Amino acid sequence: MSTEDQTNAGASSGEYENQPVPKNALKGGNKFWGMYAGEHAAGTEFMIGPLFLLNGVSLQNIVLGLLVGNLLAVLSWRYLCAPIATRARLTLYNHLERIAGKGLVKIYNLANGILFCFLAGAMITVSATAVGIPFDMPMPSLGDWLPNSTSFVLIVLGVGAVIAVVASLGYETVAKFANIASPWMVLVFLACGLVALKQLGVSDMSGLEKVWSESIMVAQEGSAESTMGFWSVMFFAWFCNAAMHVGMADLSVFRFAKKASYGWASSAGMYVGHFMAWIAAALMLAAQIKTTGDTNPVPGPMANNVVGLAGIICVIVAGWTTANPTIYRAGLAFQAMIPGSNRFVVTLAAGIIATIAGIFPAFAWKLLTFVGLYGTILAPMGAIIFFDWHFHRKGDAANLLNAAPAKSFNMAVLFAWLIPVGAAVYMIQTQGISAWYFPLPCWIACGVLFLIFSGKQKSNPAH
Amino acid sequence: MKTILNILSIAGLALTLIPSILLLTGSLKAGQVTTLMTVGMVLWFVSRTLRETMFRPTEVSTHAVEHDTPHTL
Repeated sequence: MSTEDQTNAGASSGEYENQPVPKNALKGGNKFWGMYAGEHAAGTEFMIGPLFLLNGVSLQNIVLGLLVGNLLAVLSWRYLCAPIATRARLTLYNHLERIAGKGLVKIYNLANGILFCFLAGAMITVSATAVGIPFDMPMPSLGDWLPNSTSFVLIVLGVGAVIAVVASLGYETVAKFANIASPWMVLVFLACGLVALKQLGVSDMSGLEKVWSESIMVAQEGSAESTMGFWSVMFFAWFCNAAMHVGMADLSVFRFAKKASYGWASSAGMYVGHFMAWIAAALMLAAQIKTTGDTNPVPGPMANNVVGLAGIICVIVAGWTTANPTIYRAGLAFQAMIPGSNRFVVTLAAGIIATIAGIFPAFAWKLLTFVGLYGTILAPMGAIIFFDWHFHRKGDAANLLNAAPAKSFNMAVLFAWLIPVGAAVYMIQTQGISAWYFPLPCWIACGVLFLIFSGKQKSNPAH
Repeated sequence: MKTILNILSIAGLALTLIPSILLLTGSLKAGQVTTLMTVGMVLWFVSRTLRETMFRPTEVSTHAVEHDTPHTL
């Protein structure tokens, strides 16, 4: 298919993947508020909240850290991502291609695809913990990095196979189902939190703080030591979606927005999903610890403990509707790497990789670190777009859209990306510094290095 | 028909949330909450699925913006 054909196809399907979104295709604000509220009440929320508790975060730090971190995330969407999206109106990939070249975007796609596979794997694990309840499956515990039983492996393989095949068949049906499920899932999260509060038997904040501290003590076998404080929670909340806001992946979303002020819609996702849902999930674990003494943050039994069948179904649906588009997207990323490959086969392969990852509970237990790493690796590419937009294109979309195509492989972008990310990954691995501290310094370093390396290109907007 | 399905959907959501609030106030027991939430779940999914099937919107909805960037976190 020629580029022109692709452009026409993209336009006729209403997705405009290879051209700026025209005025008549722009969407109203309600769609963005609804989308963000629904998309951020996902399977990952069942894991992240409990992991905060297990890391000994105090109730005060979790509330304040999430309030501030989520606000910074919303401001990043509103003032960094949305203004560029509503002026250039391109997808991330198309925008990046015009700066970094097709070859480099393929590398970025590969990194994206691999990370998506492991994230989907963690969500398959989440769903499997709920599917396994009626089969009396032995649940994996925090110490289990490898599969703990044959039944766990079989259930993960079954869940993964269904998710992989459905993702390979297409995106439409699952997207529609996810849209239907979203409002219900948000309310189930809230209901889980309320029922957990009742189970904890608290009537005021001081009572809740006491029970919270006791839960940490039990979880840490007598120690009340915290490995995450206010700054950790704040940076995690700010950068767990770093690839989307400062990383500019949501250019693809906000290119359909009439105004940059629609960036405020992200607050629905942050304060519904990353505040209410995380705290509700953490309360579910606290309630489980109080009622059963079980400190395992396994989503299926936790949800079953508070609201029964609705909770189990919510865990399955949340894991499935998160894993499915993730595998689909990973498939598209891999497909872009292999010209002429069959989308069904490539997506199925991505699903198989995700399913194999799902067999190892370590990916779910290490979700906080993984999410931080995900932001550290992908977000700096957003700095390339941001610095290029403001320093090279002077904030004028015409300078970008009318420029000659970039070289296939812009070395200035490659080194500006690899140097800070390489240093960060080295420090995370060898020094044990938490991954969520690195997206910000990597983003700034990447942008500055890009300006230095591409200094000669400043006067020539073609590159 | 559309109005009836909309009412059933709202009832489904109400049965999902309100029982947990009533549990907190001591008006319901835990077993009743799980039962009512299950009923709410069935009501919501059946009514919304029927509504989507019978009254499918003609415009390209949020699919166009979701297709590119599935949020996962």
